[in-house]
Amino acid sequence: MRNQKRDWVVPILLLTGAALLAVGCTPYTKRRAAAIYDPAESLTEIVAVLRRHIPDDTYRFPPGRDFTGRNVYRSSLLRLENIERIHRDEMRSGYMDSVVAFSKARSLERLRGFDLAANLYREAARKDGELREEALRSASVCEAVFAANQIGMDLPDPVAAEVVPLSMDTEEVVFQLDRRIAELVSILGGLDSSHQPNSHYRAVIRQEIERADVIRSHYFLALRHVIPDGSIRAVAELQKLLTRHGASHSRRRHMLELANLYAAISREYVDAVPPESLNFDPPKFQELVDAASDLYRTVAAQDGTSEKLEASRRLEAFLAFTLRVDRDRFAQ
Amino acid sequence: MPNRHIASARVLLALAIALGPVTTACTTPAQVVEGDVLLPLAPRAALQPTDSDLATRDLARAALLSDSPAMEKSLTVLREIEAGGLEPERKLARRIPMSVDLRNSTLDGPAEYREACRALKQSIKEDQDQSDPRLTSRLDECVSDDFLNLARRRFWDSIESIWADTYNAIADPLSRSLLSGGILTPYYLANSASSYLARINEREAFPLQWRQALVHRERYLAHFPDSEEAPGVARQVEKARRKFHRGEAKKLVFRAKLAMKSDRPRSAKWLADRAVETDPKNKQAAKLAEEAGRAVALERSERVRSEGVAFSQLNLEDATRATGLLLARSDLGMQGQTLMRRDGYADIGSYVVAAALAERGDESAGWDRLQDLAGKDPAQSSMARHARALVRDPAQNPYGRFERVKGAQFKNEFLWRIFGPFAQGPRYRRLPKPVAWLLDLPAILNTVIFSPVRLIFSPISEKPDFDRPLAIAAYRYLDRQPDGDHQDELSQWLFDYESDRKNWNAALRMADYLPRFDTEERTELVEKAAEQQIGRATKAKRRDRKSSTYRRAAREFPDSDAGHRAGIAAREHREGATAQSIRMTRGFLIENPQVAGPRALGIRAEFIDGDNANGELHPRGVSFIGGLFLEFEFLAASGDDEDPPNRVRQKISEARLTRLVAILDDTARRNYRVDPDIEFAADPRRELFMERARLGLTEEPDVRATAHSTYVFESARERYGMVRGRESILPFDLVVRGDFSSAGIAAFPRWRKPKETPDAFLYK
Repeated sequence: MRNQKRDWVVPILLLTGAALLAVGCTPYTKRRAAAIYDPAESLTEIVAVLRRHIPDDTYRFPPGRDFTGRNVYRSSLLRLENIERIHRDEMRSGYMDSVVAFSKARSLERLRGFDLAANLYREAARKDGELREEALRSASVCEAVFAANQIGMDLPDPVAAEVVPLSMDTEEVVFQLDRRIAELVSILGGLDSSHQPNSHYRAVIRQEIERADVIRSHYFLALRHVIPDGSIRAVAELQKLLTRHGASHSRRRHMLELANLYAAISREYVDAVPPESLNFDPPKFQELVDAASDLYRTVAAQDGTSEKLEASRRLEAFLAFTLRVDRDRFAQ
Repeated sequence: MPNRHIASARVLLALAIALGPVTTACTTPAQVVEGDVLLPLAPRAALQPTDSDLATRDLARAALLSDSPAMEKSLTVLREIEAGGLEPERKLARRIPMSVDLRNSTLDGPAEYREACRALKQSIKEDQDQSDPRLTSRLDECVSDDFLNLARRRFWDSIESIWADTYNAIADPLSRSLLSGGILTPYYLANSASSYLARINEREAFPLQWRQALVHRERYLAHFPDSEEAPGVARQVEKARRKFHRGEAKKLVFRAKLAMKSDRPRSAKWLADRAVETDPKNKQAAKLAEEAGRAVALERSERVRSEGVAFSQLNLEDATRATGLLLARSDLGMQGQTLMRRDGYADIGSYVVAAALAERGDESAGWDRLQDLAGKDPAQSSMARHARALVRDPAQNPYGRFERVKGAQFKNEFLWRIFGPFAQGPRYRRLPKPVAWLLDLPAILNTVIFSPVRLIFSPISEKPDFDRPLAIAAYRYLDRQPDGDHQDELSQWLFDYESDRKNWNAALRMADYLPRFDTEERTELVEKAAEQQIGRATKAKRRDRKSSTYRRAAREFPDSDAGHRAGIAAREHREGATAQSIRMTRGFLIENPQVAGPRALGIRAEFIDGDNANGELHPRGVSFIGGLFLEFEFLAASGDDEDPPNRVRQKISEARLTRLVAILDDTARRNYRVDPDIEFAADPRRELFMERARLGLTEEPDVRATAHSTYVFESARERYGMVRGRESILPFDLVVRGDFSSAGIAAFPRWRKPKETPDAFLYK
């Protein structure tokens, strides 16, 4: 009797094990299988995610992120391109083309691809009567912003194969950038008549105005050693940027830029006038150190931001640099 | 008895049957695969859009235009089609909730949207047929994406941490006393209670979770300043900020006090000033700032006074004459001796003689003389302070520094051996020292008693690098005085130090400093140094760095075996280098048939069917190697996974690559969305390749080393094995713990503290 019982033990154990394994494995395999979408479903999902983020004020707040941590506009664009390729055959009839083009344009304008966005808006307008009006309106805004951005210089790519030398005509550069800003401001004003009061283009254009100001401050930063009172001008430009865009989500970055400039000037001062030399002026150096460290400290106090880390580490590095200066010339 | 044998035989048979296929599969010879391994790319017929498809298109368009009536109309159409069962081939039961979500996404207020998400999630739960894990996961995300909710959650995390501490502080001693028969109950309880109170005292006044909650509330205010909740939240923020500043100021005051105690009034002043800035109401900070200010002023005045005092006893005329002598004549030693004989100039003379000895190369005699001078009373000797500054300067007198640190570090190591971590002081730094020491007394006794045991295990246990400051001083000495009196001694010391650390490259450098170093030992050292470089090359992630490290090892150690191997590795690395190495494992392809199938990769089914006889893909799978090329790794003829795979490269069409990459990306993200255990690590190089491939721009491979990705798409089974590790749903762990000191055993449920969120590092 006892042995008969034992006969059943092995198969029962094996079956139980197999059943447990099956139970353990099934849910996620099933979930993965259930999560495959057809073209219409895929598009519904992508448009839902994108649509939620269209009104976002990306000037005041950082752009949203998707569940993988990727910029939501970039993610939507890539996913739209994915479904265009995955379901190319199924979508050959073109019934979704206008919606796809319009959605891609909405993503691209948040990624500064204004010319591409305008083209896609026009394509959507051509293919879909319902979308036509809004698509044409958006296309004209994108084209205007793109045209405005062509005025004056842009931030140069420092590692490009051919770096275009900066213009030494500061007045002309400033004039052109002011013209760009004026154009952008006029587009912003025009939105009142053409778009709803809460149009997302306000944030887009404000970001472009901020960028023009950033270009200007970086230009003077780059020229500070070659124009008269260059460092003072660069500080003034960065301070202006900070004041004009105090509401921007990049304000901490601007503060860091200014702090970095003060830190760089203090380093240059120590190199030019060694602390052990007779010409070293401790109060002047103290002023520079205080300005840099106050700004670093302010940014380092901003919990929950990546700039906090950057500022605190930079402050540490900067204070370490001040140790180079003899204690009788400077003491923190 | 025979029956028992039969039963055992049956068990063995069952095991053999179970394991049979596995062992056979591993050892069956595999067919060598050559030629085309892919099926033709299968196109799919154009889809004739149905009414539901058109309704979905209309809904998406209306959502993009924020046209509510049009959205409702499309939704009604979809519901009617679904209710009438007009399109059974479409999964409308699943599409309708998605469409509702699309409509919801156009809602203006975030609270309204969240509420809509919650309602939709509820309706899906009620109707299991509509289950859509992708949508459910998105809805979960939406419901939890609320600043105020997040703030509340962080606040409760902190409460739970306190509760966990309290509960564990009771449960642990209680279980110990129960298991030890209750004799030591008062001791355990008192010990636990005092440690608990000390920990409470050490806790941040404004803990990390509160900081997170504060930031969430501030973000809420920034986003929705006009919401109903805004005034209440603003009050909470203001209150929390005040509390935070008070806590920060207290911390600064504590550090300022420490600085004052360790005679650093300048630091104390700076810290106290900052504390006053942070919390102007902190009276202690203001008092401390004042006190530190006075100390700084005193220090300054003392310095000014001391600068003039030593030379006041000298005659100016004599001093000028002495300086003239020193400058005019070249025999410094003679001048020094002359000065030594003059009244009031003896110490100056001695200092000059020391300098002369050092210049002559008699380094030890020079430093000995300075050492004597440094020992004199500064009030009596004009040169004592100068000599002392020189003797104590680690840059000027590195050997002196070496000797001084040697004694100190020996003492530190001895204390560490006896007292372990308590050699640095008691654990609870914020308590008054006597109390802190008293609390730690049982633990200290325990550490001291078991120090012999630690000593026994010391060769295999980790210890702080007590010799590091010595090594710095020794290197500095060799750098400053490569032919100095102590060169041999310090080189030998450094050689031993680097050998102990197994830093063979540095040890070899030191060996070259040592005279009459044994040739055989040097050869052995060269081998070890070359091995070390190969180890570095193996660990290097970037292709170019790996290659250059191999080459350097081969160049630096050409006569060693390891150098020879490094040369071969460099060549193999160069020959086998590919622009990309993004790999999909066999397990991943089996788990995701839509990637492996004829509409994407299109690998022949027989290569992943588990039958070696018709050729089988190696578990490493298939790699994108750049351009339009794929590299397939098949099992070697032996059929053994361990043998190097048989590699087949195949060029695919641009259309296939584009589709494959799009499906792969979509599949990986989808899996990540619905399966919490799936990892989809960020890899910008993979993203770059996939983006370019998607656009058909990979004809010319990007050969830059920084564009090379080694990302691996692997299955959940490969990552976790047969059974996935799961975190217990219970809020506590069952712990059994024993310690030698009290011979006590504890078994109790220990409450788990909530984990820190991934962004916690941004709040520290």
